[in-house]
Amino acid sequence: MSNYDMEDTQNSAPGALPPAQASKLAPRRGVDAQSTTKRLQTELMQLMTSSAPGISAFPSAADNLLRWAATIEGPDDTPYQGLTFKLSFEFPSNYPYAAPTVLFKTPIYHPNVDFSGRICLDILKDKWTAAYNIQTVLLSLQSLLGEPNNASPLNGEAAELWDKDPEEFKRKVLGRHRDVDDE
Amino acid sequence: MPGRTLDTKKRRVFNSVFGTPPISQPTPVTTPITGFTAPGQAFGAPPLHNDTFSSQLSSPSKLSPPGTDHVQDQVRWDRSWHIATRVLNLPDFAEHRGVLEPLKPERESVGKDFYQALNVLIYPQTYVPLARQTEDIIAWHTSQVRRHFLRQVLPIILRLKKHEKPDAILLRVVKVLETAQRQYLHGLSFIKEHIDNSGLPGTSTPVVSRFRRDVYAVISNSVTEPILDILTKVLTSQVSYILGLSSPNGSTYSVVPEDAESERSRREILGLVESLKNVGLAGEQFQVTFAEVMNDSMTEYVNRGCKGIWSQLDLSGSQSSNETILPRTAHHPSPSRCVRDLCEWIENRYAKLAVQVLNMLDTKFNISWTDKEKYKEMSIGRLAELRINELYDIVVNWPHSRGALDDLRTAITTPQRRLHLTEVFAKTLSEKLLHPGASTLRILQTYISMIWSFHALDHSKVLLDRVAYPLQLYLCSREDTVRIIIAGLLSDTEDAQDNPITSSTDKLVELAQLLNKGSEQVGSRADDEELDWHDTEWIPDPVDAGPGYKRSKNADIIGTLIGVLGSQEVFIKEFQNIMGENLLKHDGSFEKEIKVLELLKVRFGEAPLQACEVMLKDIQDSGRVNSVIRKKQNLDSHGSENDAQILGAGSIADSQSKPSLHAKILSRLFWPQLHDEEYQVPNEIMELQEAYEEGFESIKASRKLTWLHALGQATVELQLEDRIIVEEVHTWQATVIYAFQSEDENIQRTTEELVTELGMDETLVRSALKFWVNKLVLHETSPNTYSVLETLNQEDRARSNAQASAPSSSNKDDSLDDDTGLGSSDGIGKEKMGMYWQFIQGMLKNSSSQMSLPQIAMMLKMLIVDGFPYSNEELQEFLGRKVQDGSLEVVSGKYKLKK
Repeated sequence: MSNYDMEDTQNSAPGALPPAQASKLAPRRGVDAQSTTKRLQTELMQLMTSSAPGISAFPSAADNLLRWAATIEGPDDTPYQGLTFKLSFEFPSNYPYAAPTVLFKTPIYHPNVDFSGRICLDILKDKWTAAYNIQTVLLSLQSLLGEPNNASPLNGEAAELWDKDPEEFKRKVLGRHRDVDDE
Repeated sequence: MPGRTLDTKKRRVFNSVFGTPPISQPTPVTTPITGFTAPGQAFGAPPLHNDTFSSQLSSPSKLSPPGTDHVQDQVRWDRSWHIATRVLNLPDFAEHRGVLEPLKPERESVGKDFYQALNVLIYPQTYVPLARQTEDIIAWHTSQVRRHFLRQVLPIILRLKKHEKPDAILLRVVKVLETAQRQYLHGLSFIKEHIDNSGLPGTSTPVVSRFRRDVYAVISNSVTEPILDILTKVLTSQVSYILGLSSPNGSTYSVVPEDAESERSRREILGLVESLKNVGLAGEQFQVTFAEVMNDSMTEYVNRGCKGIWSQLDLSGSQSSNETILPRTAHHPSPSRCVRDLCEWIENRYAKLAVQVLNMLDTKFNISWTDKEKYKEMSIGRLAELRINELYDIVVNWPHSRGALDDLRTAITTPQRRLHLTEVFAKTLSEKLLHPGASTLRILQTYISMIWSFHALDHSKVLLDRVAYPLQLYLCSREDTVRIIIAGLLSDTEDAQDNPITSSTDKLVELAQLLNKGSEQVGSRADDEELDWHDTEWIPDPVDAGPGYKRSKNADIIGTLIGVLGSQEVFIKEFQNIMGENLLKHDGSFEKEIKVLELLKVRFGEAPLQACEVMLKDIQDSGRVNSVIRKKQNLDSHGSENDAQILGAGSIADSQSKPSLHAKILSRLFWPQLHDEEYQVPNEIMELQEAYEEGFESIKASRKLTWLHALGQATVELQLEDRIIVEEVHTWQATVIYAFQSEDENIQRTTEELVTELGMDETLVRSALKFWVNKLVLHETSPNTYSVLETLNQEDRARSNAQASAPSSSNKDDSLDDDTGLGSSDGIGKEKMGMYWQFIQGMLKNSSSQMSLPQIAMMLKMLIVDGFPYSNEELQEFLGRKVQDGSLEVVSGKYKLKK
């Protein structure tokens, strides 16, 4: 009988299964995760078939659809003209019912972005609805570059300079901008 | 030796008459130790033996001065010691000594002085209180026995071992030991009797038992080890006789029923155990050996009686006996044959023997008849182990192995065993099946058997889920999985003679049978099962079920298999492809397809299968439209029939009759992407097509026909000088042969000519030429130049006949099929190219600026919902084009967007 002399594994057995299997066994969570994945796949398809100019996004790795990388080109006639900015998207497992976490990976000098890349944008916070998607978020961010919301700045100096000294602002933007490579 | 015994005998007689010569006394009354001689005695003279001794014995209290008393006591002690030990001294052990020979020393020869001496030795406090050096006579006897045994008896035993059969040796050993023991106990019996006579009753018992224990210890310590292998051998053979495991005919692997032989063995073994016990060999070592032998024989029985016996029990056996024979845990509505046999065997033979033998031994454990239940459970455990190791073969042999699964179900009762089962099975599975050597078909067949078998084993699917995961994963890596499943669903379940086909080497006929049986209900019965109070078969969820476990009563093979493919979309898409292929390739009513489609609709709902339905409808409609158009355009002419898909063109006819054209009209949007080859159809066909087109447009004004030339079927009749060939071929094959139609008998055409003339892809031309060469219609006169083979020589004729007799279907199955397969086009199609390029740009821009080919391929495969059906080579070619037009660059083997 020594063959069976192992600790009682009745509770740990499912845990020992590979994660994919485990998620199959947990339907409630699994269904959510599945619908999130499906939604993200659809969005990816949309982005790929009808892309808006100046923005693009793609999953960071094939096996995890919950992390994306995105690129925004600075809109013309703004201090950011000609620059490209990388962003990271992190989707919660109940996306689209909760907003993704979006960060600027490229250092940016902007009134509504702090130095670690965090963004102050209402639709990424309390104004988020499931109707938004990656494309709309990127388009909003792109327009945010041209029209910062100086009423609630994360970078006070930038907010001030935006109105007072566009030249200096532009200089600071260029000074801060730096192409980031992949991690 | 006899001379010597005689000698001692004589001497003993002599001694009994004349007394022992005092000179032999090692401790004379006057010894140098004492220092003095007693007054009135000569120094060194022989003592006045009798007087002194008896007076001293009779009056110990009269002993005078302490100094002398001390000496005297010591002397008395020493003398008593001498007398007693000389009498008790063990004689030499004769190897072939008879049992009946009287033991020495004989009782009559022992004199009174011996008993007096014993008195002194046993009760020194009373008789010689002052003697300083006293010893225990029993301890002396024990040690003399030990020495005697080791020096004289043991060598005899060891010598015996060298020559004789095991059981004979064992008997001899037992005999020798018995004799020796008698001798030893005989010596002791003097002391014992004396103690009994002089002391309180019962005082001798501890003495004797201590002695006996010591002797046993000596014997078992020294003898058991050397004869252990013999003992094991004898026990093994006897036990296997008794338990019916001996195979007299050498290789017969069956269990011998109880007979006189086993009864005899039983008596023998009991006798043996009895005598071993008497001589002290039934100690722990023996018990361990016996346990090992019994243990081995249980495994042996399980192996022999159950290995490979998987058939089910015929239920003629009396049901009532189950209740008593099977252990409580093994009670089950459908009894399994092996478990029953096993339990019967345990009950009637195994437990009987074990209990009988163990009861004879003094063991610490109390073995009783009730322990048989334990044995039964143990043996079922062994059976489980055996079955677990056999499980893969059992599964493969489904459904002929039901009995084995019953065994397992009876035995797999604990979560540990269930876990063990799944672990072992998963390991075997990955070793035996999940490797490139196994065909996908085989894997799928095994999977189906697995689903059946595990369902029989455990309705809960918990076990199956645990083992099936790696299999599912592996199946996903096989490209042809979906295709095989669908082909299986669509395959014939009956052969031409209406006999059911039960198995096939190239198709999963099982699936079609399942689908047709329709026994698998689909639906959500799982939800309301909890509330079904009438379900008398209800059992609780298995303890090791994972969270989110859902019970399901039937095996649902098809559902499980489709589940393997990840999503139903993939399945439906492939189904569409295959159905499209079938619809285009064949004519007829497509009953099978309709049936499968209906059944799939039950499973998936109407919506996802809409496209398939449109496809079917297209085909049905085109039949009608076809005849209407043909009537209208007066296309009906006699002649060989050319069957062109809507867009396929028919071809060739012989010179007398005109070709005729039938089309299938497909709704482009609902069909899978069709792969077409562009080429010049023969003029006659072209004309027909135009007329047809006209007719179609007059019926359906808003619609337009596009011809897919390569997808058609053509019936070609070739009239050669000495034979007529009728072939069902692809339209492009027909086109090529049509190019050889000419008045000129010796027409020769080169490949290049055909390629330019027909505007056909070179590979296609070549494969068509090859096809006709195989058919012995063309032959290659010189490289790349072909001409018609109007007459056949003898040898070719034989080949041709052989071909004709071979099933015609095999002719179509040559390598050309793939060229026209739906969707399987060479390279990456233009339509999709744009989208793939978007994906590649997206990933190179965002995820990683440099990626290798496999990485890109992986990304595409994982992220594109419809899948990325192209191989790495095709992708490489595509990327190569992008590199050429300057959108990409390659940096150290990785692709990068050019800025």
